[in-house]
Amino acid sequence: MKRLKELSRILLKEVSHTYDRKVEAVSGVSMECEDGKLTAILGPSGCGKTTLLRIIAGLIIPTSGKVYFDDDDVTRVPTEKRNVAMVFQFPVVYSNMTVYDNLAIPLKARRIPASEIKQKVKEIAEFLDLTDYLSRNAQKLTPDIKQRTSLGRAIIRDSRVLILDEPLTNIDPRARVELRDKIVHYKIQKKQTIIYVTHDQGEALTLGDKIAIMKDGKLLQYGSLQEVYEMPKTSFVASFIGNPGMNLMECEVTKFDSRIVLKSGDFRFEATQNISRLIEKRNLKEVVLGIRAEHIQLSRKRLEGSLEGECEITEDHGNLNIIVLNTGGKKIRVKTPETYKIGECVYIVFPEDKLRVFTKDGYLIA
Amino acid sequence: MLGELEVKNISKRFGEQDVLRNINLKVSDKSFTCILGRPGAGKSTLLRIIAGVEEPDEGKIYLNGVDITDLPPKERNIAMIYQSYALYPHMRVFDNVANPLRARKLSKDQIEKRVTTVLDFLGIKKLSNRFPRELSGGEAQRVAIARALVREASVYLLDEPLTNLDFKIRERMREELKRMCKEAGATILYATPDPIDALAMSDYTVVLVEGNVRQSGITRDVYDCPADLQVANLFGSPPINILDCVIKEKDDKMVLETPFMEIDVTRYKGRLDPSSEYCIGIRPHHLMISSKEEEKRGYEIEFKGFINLTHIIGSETLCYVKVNDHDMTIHLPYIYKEDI
Repeated sequence: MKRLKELSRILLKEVSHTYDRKVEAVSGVSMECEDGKLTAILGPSGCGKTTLLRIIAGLIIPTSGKVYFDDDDVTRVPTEKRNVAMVFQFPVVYSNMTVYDNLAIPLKARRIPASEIKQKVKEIAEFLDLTDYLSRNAQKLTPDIKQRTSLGRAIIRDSRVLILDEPLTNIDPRARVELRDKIVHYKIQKKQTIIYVTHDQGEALTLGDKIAIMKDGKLLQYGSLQEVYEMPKTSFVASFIGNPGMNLMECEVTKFDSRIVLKSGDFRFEATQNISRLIEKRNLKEVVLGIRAEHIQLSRKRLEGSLEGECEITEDHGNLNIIVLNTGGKKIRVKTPETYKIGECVYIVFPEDKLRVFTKDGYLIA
Repeated sequence: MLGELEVKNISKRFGEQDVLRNINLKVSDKSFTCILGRPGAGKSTLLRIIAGVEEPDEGKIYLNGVDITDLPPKERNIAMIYQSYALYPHMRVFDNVANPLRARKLSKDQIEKRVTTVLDFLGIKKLSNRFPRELSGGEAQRVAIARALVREASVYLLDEPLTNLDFKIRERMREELKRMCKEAGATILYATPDPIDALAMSDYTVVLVEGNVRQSGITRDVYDCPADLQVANLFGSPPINILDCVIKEKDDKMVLETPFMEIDVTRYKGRLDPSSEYCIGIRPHHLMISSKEEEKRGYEIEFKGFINLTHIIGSETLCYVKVNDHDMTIHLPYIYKEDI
């Protein structure tokens, strides 16, 4: 497969969309999807990701805002003139047609010579392991073969933009892994501009060069894997990304001597100098303390600055255990290779560089 | 409520097919037992027989020492939760959960109190007035669990309750089910094809292969010492790496020759027969990677491979590696992404 020559950068400027003048599905989204890269749009169901994708595809004209492909304003350009190819969650194949004809259809429509079509179909079929199915009726095949056929029909066109809407959600787990790997290889070889919508963080983190995380119609964060994982801009992103999500503890800001102590029930945590300064600068009364399960250090002996906790639940994950600790009424999840018993007393240390602090309404400050 | 369950010599045929063959199983009170097996292994049939909705061809079921084989489901004090939730679509959440109690003619106050306690325990009290169609998958699953829990049964049977849920919710539900067993003192028998479910939640695991109990015991023991290749394969996610090998004797040393490395097994000399064929299995999370060749770390076994693909699962990474012509999977406990 050859790399594409014609690439498109997609630019969204303040895009909003309201259905029936009531529900705002997408609100004020601005982002740039780089050419030749895969942008993953990730979020829970109802976050507006599919609406945003339909706006990019041209299936919906947004209530306000602009969509650019390179320097062309395509906001009001219909789908068929945008040169985008789409694959949907539920496989779409033309019934009573063979897999071969399904793949060939976009090329036939463009009056490409038969020999060239044959060559192209052969190439795509080989890439997607569809060669053995070419003469079969597409309608009668399993969902994963149908979905591979849909994908083949989308990529055979060499379109300006490829849009994938949860393409792996409705196929069985084993086939899902295979098709995901096909998409990885396709992306590497072809360097097409791809928009990939999913609710599955594994797919988004694996496939995405950049990841856009949406909730309630808003774009919460747009960045690389490292950025969204290490520096989540909001507490929602922190808990949504990762396995398990980041521990979040709502705390009151209190003072003891000149030091700042974060407090909640019987939970006490003395803030580091750096964090204290930021809290004082903003005069915050409440904050949310965040730390990832794998960054917490545990010990059976009391250490300086450690918190005492009781092991409530342990989950074996083969290589690691996920344990739930109760410290002063707060439940904290920790990933550790060590084995602890339920009811055991454990001392907890939060390494300073791994601590994140959010405002009460969930925005990152440190 | 005491929940000691014993399954004795249970067999079941559907037409020509043996679905269960002479199953023996003991579940102790307040324990969490997983029945692990591929689709079609007989897991659901076994649960259905225990629940009483299916009759065994042979064998007996005992609950707290009492033979319940011929009792109808209602009189067994065993609650079952199905993969499909099976909620009544025309009833609100509260009524769905209250339903088993109404059938037992409890007073209105008693029902109200019991249902509220259970909804609260599962964190779904605020959904009381919703209809099933207004629930997400995870919420519907919790309602189904609440409906089983409200009965205060001796044993809870769960048939793949997490299979249809997405990753994030599955993670939460595992913790909640474990809490239900530990804090509510429930006895749980849980059927699943997912090895992580078994590892993360259960005290005991029973591996079912084509209607036979292939291995059973303390979960971690079964995981660490699988009885055969099939169990090793089944009980691991991602599956264990298997390599064929031959035994070579050199001087007074004995080595296992795999396609791309040698392992000194002199210390197992008496237990290995040089004329037999062997396989070795290495779990993906027991392998590590290093990108620099000069950085030999002095481990007993080292080999060179090329990373084909990486797949990030939450905070961890699966690396698919080619070593000569062999595919190996490596499970890293951190995020690893090569810049492509």
